[in-house]
Amino acid sequence: MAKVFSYSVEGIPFLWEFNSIYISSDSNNAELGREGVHVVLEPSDLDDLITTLTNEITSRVQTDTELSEGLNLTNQRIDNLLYDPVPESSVKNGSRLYLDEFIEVFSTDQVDGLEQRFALFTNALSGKLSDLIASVGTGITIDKSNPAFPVISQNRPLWDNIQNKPGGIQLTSQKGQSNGYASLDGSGKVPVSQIPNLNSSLQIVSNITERNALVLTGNTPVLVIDASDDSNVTSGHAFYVYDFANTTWIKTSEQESLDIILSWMNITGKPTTFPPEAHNHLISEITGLQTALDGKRNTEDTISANYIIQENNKFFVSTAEQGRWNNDLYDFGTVTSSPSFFDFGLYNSFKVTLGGNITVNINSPRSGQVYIIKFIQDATGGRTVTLPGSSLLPSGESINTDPNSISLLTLHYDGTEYLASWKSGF
Amino acid sequence: MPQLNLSHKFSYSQSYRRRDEQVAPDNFSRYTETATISKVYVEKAKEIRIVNPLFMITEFRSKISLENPVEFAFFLANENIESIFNDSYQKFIDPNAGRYNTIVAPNEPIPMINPAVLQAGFSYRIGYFEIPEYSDFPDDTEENFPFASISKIMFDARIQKQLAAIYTIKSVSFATNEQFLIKNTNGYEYLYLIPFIQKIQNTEIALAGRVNFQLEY
Repeated sequence: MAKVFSYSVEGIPFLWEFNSIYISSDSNNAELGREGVHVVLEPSDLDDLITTLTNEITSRVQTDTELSEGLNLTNQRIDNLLYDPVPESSVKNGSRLYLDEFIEVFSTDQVDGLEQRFALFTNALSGKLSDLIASVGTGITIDKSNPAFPVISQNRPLWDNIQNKPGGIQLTSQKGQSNGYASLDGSGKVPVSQIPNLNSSLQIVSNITERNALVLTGNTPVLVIDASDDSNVTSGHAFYVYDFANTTWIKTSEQESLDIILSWMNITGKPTTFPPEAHNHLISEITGLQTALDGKRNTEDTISANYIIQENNKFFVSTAEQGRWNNDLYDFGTVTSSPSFFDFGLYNSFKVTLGGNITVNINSPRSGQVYIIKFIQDATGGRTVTLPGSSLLPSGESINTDPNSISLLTLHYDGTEYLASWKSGF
Repeated sequence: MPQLNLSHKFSYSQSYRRRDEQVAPDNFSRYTETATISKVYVEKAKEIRIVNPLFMITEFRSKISLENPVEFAFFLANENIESIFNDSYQKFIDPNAGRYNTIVAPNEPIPMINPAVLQAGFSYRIGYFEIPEYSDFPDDTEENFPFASISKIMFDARIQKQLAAIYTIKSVSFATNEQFLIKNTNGYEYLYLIPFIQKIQNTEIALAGRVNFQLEY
């Protein structure tokens, strides 16, 4: 039976696959090949094989031609690269417009793998150059920032690495520094920044604006004639000191007031007395006042008699009470209506000229008191006096009603009623 | 302030024929040069910032080494400075078509460059075609290149411009972590992107690529 070669359609040469081909002899059917028992190829199979092999040969010849052309083109390009500018005449030279017309131009940058090989070499070289070192003691410094060109940037040991250095010297790094030494500028002079402030002479300016415009190089006293622009100065001049380190102005005095705190004890020539102004103090603000007050008697306490000094013009009654204490006579004058007799807190003795009929009214009578009232009839006479309602009068006693006659009324009040008595005939 | 992410294609080529390469009467040296012209409208902004230009070179060929590299310039200028190419030489124009299908006769104006289509479409290219290297053959003392070259737009004193940056184009792509601020005090309208070469090279040069950058103005 025929073997179907599936590879034939793919243009791959036939292969004898002995594992599946059986070949036998004509005489005794003995196996002639490996596992072969029959001749399996038929004439049509041979024709297919011949046709396929012919096609394969044709294809290979065509491929060889293309490869040869490609190699020739490559060879030409390499020749262009290696032998230019040996004249290589082309009608396109000087006339190429489109980039695809430059395909025959060969650039070293376009050689496959060349850049990579250069990179590999460069990396290896950089690694070797990076391994270059110098021991610290030599003082050699190698600048390997560009690995292809390492540069010895320093070939002397550092100052710290120098042995047996002389002592007591100052380094240039100490120039112009604290505890160092001063430098010189281009004119051979010490810069102002390294000199203590020498320009501290007094400055006088017209106002605060001119003061602020001053260019000062150190602590400087400044007198401002009109310092009213300073919010702390109402008017007049003021004196300032410029603090150069802190760039601030310090006011030391001004015309309108003293900006100083001075103890009273430190003032000399001050007056011993002066017109005081009315003001108040707390007891605690006066030394010893509370102690002195504690030694005084309270106003509610009873004053014992031995504390009282007898004097002619001092007494213990009010002025209103003097009439009673002195038993003064209170003259009502001529009355036509009923007067109100005072209580005995004021007077005991009264005098009344009767101009009409009256009633005796006593305000706030006090128990145990005696009232003596002198009644005088006027020229008309016949005037009557009505006693208080609670009065007891002995029988037969009455006022004398004769014109210009005098009658004396005595009233004793016991808290309840009045004991009255008329006396006349004077 | 607008922030534009721009990506412009560019190309440059120079073809050269040496003297005596051909027989008489063609035994004079000549060249053909092409280059793209790109421009971006910046609205006369007073400040323009170009951030991180990235050059992606897709093609770079030269037959022999170049004495002067191909350079790429950013500069500010006004509208229609391409009229500098209205000269006495014949030119081939590729007006965003991909083909040099427009021939501009000597002393004729070149077609308008539309900045809006430069980024999306084909590049606008100008080609000086088969220009004799010298105008006084066979003495060969008067060069034509300064007058028939893309570099005219960079070096001609008649064009007022403000240069922003110049990069050298090599065969490899490269990125720059640069941000540079340009004070557009003259109120120029356009940012031009021009590849050019300063002096004619006696060899074939061809390059193409794309430049990306961020533009703030």
